[in-house]
Amino acid sequence: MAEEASAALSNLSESSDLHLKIILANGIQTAIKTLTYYEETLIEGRERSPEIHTYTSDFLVHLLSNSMSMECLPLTFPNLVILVSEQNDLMLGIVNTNSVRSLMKLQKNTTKLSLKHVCKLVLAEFQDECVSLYKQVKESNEESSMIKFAMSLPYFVTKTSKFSFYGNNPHRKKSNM
Amino acid sequence: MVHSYYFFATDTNKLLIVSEHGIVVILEIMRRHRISAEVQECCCGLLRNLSTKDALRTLIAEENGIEGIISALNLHYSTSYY
Repeated sequence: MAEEASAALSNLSESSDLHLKIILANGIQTAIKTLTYYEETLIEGRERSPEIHTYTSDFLVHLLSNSMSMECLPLTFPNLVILVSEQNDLMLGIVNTNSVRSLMKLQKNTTKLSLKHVCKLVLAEFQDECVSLYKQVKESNEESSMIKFAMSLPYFVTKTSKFSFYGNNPHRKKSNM
Repeated sequence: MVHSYYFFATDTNKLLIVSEHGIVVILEIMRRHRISAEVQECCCGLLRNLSTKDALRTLIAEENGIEGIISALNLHYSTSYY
């Protein structure tokens, strides 16, 4: 069921003039709920259809290419992290222990992605400083700031978990204290 | 019944299905059988096939197909037959 619905939504989201209708019908929330559920089953070792992940990710990438969708996300998913690589690979995780594990797992399997890739992101219920940084980045609208912000992401993730993270993180020492 | 649409998804058949109000019928079936994951899956599969054609996406949206699919996914997101 989830495969067919996700695939249909992925097809429909290829038409940008339908994005508003999709957003108003809570398409983003539903997609993230589905994706989160299947990521959790993956973590628990009950691997389900990989197609769901592909279709739902494609769907979100289509929507996130639209700035209107990005504006909707902070309100609905304050603790959602989304990274989109230059190749449009999508990594997504809710900032909690399970999803950090999930995010790492995806990262391990994705050789193309590095922290230099542009990050589209919305954070975080537990980090005022991160929200503040996000606002600065958004206002400055500079690529170097975006990269800086992407680089700081692992810090915010590691700060609330026991997991180490990938990449050259300037805050790593601080986060391990 | 629904499966008969499902396996013959040529472009000609897609247009024929649409010209015979197929989208309306599919969405009506979805509305009447909301709790059946199997029916919802078949109908979403049909809409998936139809939505590969750019011109048909708008028609699906006009008939509230987007809402129908999202509603089905919301209700049955944990159901996978694969």
